[in-house]
Amino acid sequence: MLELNGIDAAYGPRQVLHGVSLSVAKGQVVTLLGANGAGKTTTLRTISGLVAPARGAVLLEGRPIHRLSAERIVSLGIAQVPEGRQIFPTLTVRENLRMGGYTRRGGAELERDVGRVFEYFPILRERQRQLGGTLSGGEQQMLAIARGFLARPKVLLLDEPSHGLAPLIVREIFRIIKAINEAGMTIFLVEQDAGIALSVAHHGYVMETGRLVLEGPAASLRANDAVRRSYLGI
Amino acid sequence: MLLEQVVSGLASGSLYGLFALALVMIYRGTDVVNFAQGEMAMITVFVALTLMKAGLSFWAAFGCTLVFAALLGAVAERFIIRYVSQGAVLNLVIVTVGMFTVCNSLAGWIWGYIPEPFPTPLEGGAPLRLGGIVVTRYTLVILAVAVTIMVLLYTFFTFTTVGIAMRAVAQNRTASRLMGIPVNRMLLLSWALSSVLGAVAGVLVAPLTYVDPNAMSGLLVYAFASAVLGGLDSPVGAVIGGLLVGVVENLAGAYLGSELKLSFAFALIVGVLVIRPAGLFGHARLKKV
Repeated sequence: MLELNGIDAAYGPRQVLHGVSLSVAKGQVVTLLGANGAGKTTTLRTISGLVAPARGAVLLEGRPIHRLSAERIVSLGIAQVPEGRQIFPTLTVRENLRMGGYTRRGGAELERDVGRVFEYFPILRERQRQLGGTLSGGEQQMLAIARGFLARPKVLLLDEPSHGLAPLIVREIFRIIKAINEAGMTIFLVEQDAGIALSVAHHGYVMETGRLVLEGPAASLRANDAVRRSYLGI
Repeated sequence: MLLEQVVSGLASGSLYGLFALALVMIYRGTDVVNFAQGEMAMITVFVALTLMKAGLSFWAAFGCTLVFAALLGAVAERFIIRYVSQGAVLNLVIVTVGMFTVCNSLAGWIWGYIPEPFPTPLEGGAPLRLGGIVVTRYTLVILAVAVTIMVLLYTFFTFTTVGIAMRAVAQNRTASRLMGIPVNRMLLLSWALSSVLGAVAGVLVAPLTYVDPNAMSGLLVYAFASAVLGGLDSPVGAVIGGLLVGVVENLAGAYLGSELKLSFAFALIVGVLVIRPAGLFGHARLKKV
């Protein structure tokens, strides 16, 4: 579904990604693990077209997309839920959701999907008319995921959905991520919290200072000594 | 007498409000006060005047001028602002001041510096008597147009996808791009729309004054005072600020002498900045450095 081939990316003179190649199979949750500053967010920004790769290619269903604009990439089927949620604080919840479906030209189908989103996140239905900025951190994360979902992407990119949230809320959010995947959504999940990420993922990659150092099925990564020591704290 | 001053204050205030809305729209989208806003409006007023001299009626010329204003705003964004908007805010400020100078000189070069009268859309017609107060017909025209435009704007920004997207872009460009919103197109639209608002206010105020290349500087100062009073990032604040400034300015002019009107606007700006820098309806914003 989504493939990265030998991606190099840099901010000015500072190279951040070195030959990153990975693939996300249709219907799976694939996770990218790594410490803060490893290059995970840059990987997502490259996929979404916010950073242009210096070398390599990003393919969506075999079609190169790394030279396209961010807007175009969304309409081709990649939505990103960015780090720190980045909801629109003075737009209402409902307006935030409407922006999530911006590329879809509205209609009955979008309304039906909004209904589905409210089933996943009932609290958002209650908060529809509130301003995004008045939501709690967990609710904002839910809104951000809902917004990404409403673009009806082929692949949903999630950047650190656990960041800054209480453990109970993190568990709730990951339960819903899993449910969304089980309903057919392909998900590429970037996380620092390897434990919770591997609990929903099928496949995983580990990144260190801009290079992929390890990959495998989630179960084998969970059992891997290096992963256990560095990322699971066991 | 008092009530009459208040009504005519509301009329000029609604124009300040419209013009302040134009400033606020740019400020929210681009983070800069467009100092050239008044001069851009002045150019559109001259275009309207030229069209009327060529034989068009007031309202026909008005309509054509709004189209021209939209193009002017779009061109300013596409070919000037877009290239400097990624740099420091100060660069943008300098660029808009530069645009001010260019527009001003260009207008002087094309149309000259001799003040010209601007036709009014109402030929004659005695002032109306409404519930004991006397109002000129033109005052009512101004109020009607201003209110109509404000209602249209409110509807546009609240209910249409493009309107909401323009607000989204003003809040967070990166997130907007990740939603697939064409950010550049929205900024272009903001500049076009704001130039149109400036033209509306300019053309409506022109029959009350004479037109020359400096004709709109007063409007800009009052509008700026309104926007600062209401809060530079608040559209509602811009309108209410405009009405307040209009009424108080009119009363000050009537009871204290019209020489003090403009100084009053400056005093208001300074006063608000000292007491409540975010304005009545604005939000204090932390600048990320």
